[in-house]
Amino acid sequence: MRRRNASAKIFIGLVALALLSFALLPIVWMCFTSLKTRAELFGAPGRLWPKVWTFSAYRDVLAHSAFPTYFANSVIVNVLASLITVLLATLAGYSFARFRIRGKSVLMLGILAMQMFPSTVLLIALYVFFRRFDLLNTYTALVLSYITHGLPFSVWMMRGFVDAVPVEVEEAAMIDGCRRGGALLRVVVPMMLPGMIAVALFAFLAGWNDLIWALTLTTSPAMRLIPPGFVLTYVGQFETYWNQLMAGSVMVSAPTILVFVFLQRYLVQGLTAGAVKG
Amino acid sequence: MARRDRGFALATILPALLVLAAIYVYPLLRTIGYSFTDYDLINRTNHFVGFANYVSLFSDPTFYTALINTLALGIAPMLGAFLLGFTEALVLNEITAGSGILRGLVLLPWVVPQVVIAFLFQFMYNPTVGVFNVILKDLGIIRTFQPWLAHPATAPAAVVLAYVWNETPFFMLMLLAGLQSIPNEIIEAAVVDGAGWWQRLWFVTLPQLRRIIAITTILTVIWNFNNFTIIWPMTEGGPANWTLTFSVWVYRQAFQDFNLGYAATIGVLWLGLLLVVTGFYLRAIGGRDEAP
Repeated sequence: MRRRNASAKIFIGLVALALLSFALLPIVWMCFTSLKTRAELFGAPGRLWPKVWTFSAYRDVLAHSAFPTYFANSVIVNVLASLITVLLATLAGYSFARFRIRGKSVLMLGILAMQMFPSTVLLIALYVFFRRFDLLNTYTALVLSYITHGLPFSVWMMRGFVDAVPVEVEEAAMIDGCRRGGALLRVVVPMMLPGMIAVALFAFLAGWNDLIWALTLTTSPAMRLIPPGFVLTYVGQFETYWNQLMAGSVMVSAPTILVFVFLQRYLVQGLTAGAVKG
Repeated sequence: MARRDRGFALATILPALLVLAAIYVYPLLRTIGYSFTDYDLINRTNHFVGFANYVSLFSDPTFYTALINTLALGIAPMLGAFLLGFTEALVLNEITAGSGILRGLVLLPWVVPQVVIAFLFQFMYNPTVGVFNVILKDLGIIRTFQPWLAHPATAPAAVVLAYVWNETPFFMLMLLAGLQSIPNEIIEAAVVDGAGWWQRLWFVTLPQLRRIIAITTILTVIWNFNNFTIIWPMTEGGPANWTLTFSVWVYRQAFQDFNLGYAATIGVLWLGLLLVVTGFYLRAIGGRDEAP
């Protein structure tokens, strides 16, 4: 196993290189395209490096399109939804982990099954509901809907994280005069912080991926989020400004990639902890 | 449980349960209700019609098209992503120097937003400026640029490739964690017994990863079944329904034709299919008291 000959090493290296290229080339292509001029895009479509490096596509997207509005809306809705998801999931996850509750296992399975429900189906009735109460084109409807993306799985994740915190720590705090709520806030929450970050990240990434809710629940351009913004701007156009579209794509990908680079170990822990053991 | 604890448990669990009831249980029940009506937002009808929607659905050829496409676009990308992701995990498990950076880099396709993936691949498939066309033409595989997403024979495969690119890192991540949790002694024992690389993979590694393989493959199939964000911008279900999945069909019926009763009926049957798959998932995670 550990003793390997040179040809095996080279083979592994080549496979690694091929897989790395598969993963990265589309991203590299996106970045370079965003730095090209429109003329070059059509003149030399196969050229990887831009001949003339320019930020004009970024300038056009930021200054002459509704992109900044869409971007701000996406950030507002996703941040609010992630925060609410973390709050609800932490509270519920704590009690699911710590107390014996009748029907708990059925409840937990039901919650997990919810994560598998297709948004499209839920959307039919919620659309009618939001429409009747004049909530289309509001942050309220969007935030409430965006909680659907992460909450069920988050309850499971938080429950797992609380399970990993030793009960004795809390008991000690309660003997010292803390009530349960105080013990949760002062002792458990600091220890679960990595878990809460993982849940927030999971909820944020899930929401950032949504198209159908945002597309359906908003009609006014002022309330539009990025994904429907892209679809309604670029789909079906005869001539697409690909360099601008790729510039927008880079800017939309940047937050998730940055957040992920800094916080990935929390998310990876959260996702793999339960699935690997046992 | 002490009485004070009971109050505390209720106060902490109830908010989450109420929100879940509002955004999952309520719409689910309403959708089932709509499936027995001719609810239509344009013709403004809303009468009870019994099983009429279900009867017409089963005689609607589009239903079978959507069923086959949903299954195909659910399973095919999973297989591709599993094979690539597993290979990645095996390679990363062998490499010692720089494997952290390498893992971070191959994970990137998983965090690129799906709407970006949809447009990025659309751009690469583009019939006038798409880089796939340039490469394939330079290699002599095609003679003229092809509209990959507009052709019935290639559109589904083109969509599958975008899914595979997006999902491969998820398999890598989970399977690598699984590989690293296999005790070294088991592998060494197999080496001592004279097992070659393939034999170790087949008889030692794979059985150890059974649970995590079941979880990741089923989850991915479910996610693919429900995907809308990648497929809608790429094809909108076309050309000629060749990539029409349930999620696209429900969207068209409900929010383009505003035929909510029929859309709800499709949704209910689709949900039934999903519940079967979810049942497999719940069995794979071992039921009651373990995290997914």
